[in-house]
Amino acid sequence: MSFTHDLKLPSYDELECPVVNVSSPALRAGSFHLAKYCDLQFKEFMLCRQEEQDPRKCVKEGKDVSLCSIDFFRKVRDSCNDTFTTFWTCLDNAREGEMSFNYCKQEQRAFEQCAKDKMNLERPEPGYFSMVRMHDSKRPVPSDPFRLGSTERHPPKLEVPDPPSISQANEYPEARLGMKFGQRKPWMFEAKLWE
Amino acid sequence: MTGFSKVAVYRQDMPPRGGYSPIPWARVPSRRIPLWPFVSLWFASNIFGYFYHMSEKREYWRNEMEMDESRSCIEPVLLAEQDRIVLRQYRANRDEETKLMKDVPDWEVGTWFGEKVFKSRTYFPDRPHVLDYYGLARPSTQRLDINASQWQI
Repeated sequence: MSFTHDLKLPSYDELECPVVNVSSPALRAGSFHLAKYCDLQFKEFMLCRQEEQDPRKCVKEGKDVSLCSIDFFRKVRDSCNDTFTTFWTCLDNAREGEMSFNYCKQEQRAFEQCAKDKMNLERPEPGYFSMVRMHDSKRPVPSDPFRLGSTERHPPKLEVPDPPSISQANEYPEARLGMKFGQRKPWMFEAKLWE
Repeated sequence: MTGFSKVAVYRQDMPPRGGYSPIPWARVPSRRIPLWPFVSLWFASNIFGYFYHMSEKREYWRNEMEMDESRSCIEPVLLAEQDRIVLRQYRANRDEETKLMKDVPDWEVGTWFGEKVFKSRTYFPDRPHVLDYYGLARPSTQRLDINASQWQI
């Protein structure tokens, strides 16, 4: 709503990308191996997102992420489909409804074994993804990560008028719109924001 | 005494021959159960329970960590898709706004009759805002995101 035509929004063609058509228990089931397989793309995307703080600048990395995850699930479907399906259906029907792993340990072990044998993908040890991971990327460091706009520490002050004060409420009824957070009777329930 | 010639015969209520049996007046303490089995059981359960509880806690937090890690592994996939959806929606909102406010005089898209929201520098939010996303939607769609903090219905 506050986007003017000066702002550059990417076009529909730039945002074209296939969707990762996988349900949430399947995503949770394959999460560790997915993060191991698509490690580079994930790290690139998250680094870009964190540095630039702008989703428009990370569309390309996001596409890499989506394509890599689609590739991973395709590989799983081709090689390890049965164990994967039992695993994520077990997670889906898990006891507390939270898709927790501790009710499906057997299926998890079976899937991990299959992933190790057929796809040559080993799941990292349990604490791996909680640790801080460093990533060196070829993308240049963003020029304005904190969105300062100008290099001056104190940019010139613009002429913005002061909001009307409470004493002016009776004289200028049209000023009530600017008095959203200051009313004559703030402690009463009938304090109106505007007429 | 005058006038008494005969004595009436009656039977007196006397104690039995040999006297009454002795009254038991000594203290009789109640039957008691010993305390040491209970105390020792409690103590043993404390010690055993401490170690069991510590191992269970470790296992519990291991499972919690696993859940959190799986969530952070999935985060980039969902974030990328969300970014694309949101950018598409912003674009659609802006086009819709131009179409709607074409005939309104002095209206500039994204401003309040020329008055911009952010005055000194342009800003693009990295997290989607409810008003930006659902701004031009019908109320039933807006109500879908009712848990968002700044949405007044």
